[in-house]
Amino acid sequence: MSSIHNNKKLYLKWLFSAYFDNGKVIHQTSRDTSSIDPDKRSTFFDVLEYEKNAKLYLFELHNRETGESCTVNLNTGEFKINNSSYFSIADQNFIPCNSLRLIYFRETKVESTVNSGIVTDENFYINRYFIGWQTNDQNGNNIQKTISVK
Amino acid sequence: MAATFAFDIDYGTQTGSPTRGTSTEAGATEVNWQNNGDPTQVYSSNPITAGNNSYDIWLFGHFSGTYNQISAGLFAHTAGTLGTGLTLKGTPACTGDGDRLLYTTPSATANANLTTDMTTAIAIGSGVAVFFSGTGPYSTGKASSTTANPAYTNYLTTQLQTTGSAAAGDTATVTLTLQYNEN
Repeated sequence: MSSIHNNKKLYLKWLFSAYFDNGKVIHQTSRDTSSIDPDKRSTFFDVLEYEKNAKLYLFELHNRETGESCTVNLNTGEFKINNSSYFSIADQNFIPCNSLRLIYFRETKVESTVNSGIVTDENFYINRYFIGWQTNDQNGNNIQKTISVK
Repeated sequence: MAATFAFDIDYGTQTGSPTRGTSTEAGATEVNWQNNGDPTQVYSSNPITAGNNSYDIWLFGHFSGTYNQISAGLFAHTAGTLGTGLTLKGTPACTGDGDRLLYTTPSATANANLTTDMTTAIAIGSGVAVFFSGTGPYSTGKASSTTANPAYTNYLTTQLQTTGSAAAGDTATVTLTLQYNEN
């Protein structure tokens, strides 16, 4: 579960795996809890901490229900959905001056239905999962590419 | 453990610096626009007379549990149509720490600081920006993202304002949405 609101626990349909060039792999579980700071942090915190000492080169989202996957390769900028490549920085007309940095987040919504001043229902859900990368071009401009899955 | 979200409401006389309410309703499950500044009171016992306003409601989001970062907050009226004579006013966009709304004691006087007209439903992507920080909704240091845990939004204050043409009875159903990113 990623989030709880009024005892409703969010279900993580897409779980991530982070692959480092030294062979280390960090898998997110449904509990989404950091092994370093389990009381306050999520698994993504572990990815950022481990990335301080090893290069993260691949980040994958895996759908627990359908088995579908999507990945972003931080060496090439390539995105793959179910192993089919559809985009890479080779398609772009710029030369990144820095390495590609991971983008990952879950877009979450809390919808309160208000009727005559009374909340009658609350929808709390992950709307989309985003992965991608960002870097800087020759002029220092930040360039971002992301894809999202439901 | 897991990340936890709750709507809380500050109420009561303003106190402290930065200002905040003397009381907080944690984990609020109801948001009542009513003729009373105490959110724990029953709205049906405190109806708004046409031509008057509700007390302003000092709602805010509260994050705890496990997460790495909270960011990119947006708040809007996203569905439902309010009737004739009803205007929903809300918090201005928070795009800098100085933009955060400073708490004032709830009252039925029109709150001139609620500069966003939320009467008409819009897409959440067009909602007002929401900032985050540790300590509380009132605290300084608000930014577009935070790793503080616990963390709070700025105040998401609303007030229902009416004219004499407002129809008697319950308002139509509307949806208020808070959207944020988490990882």
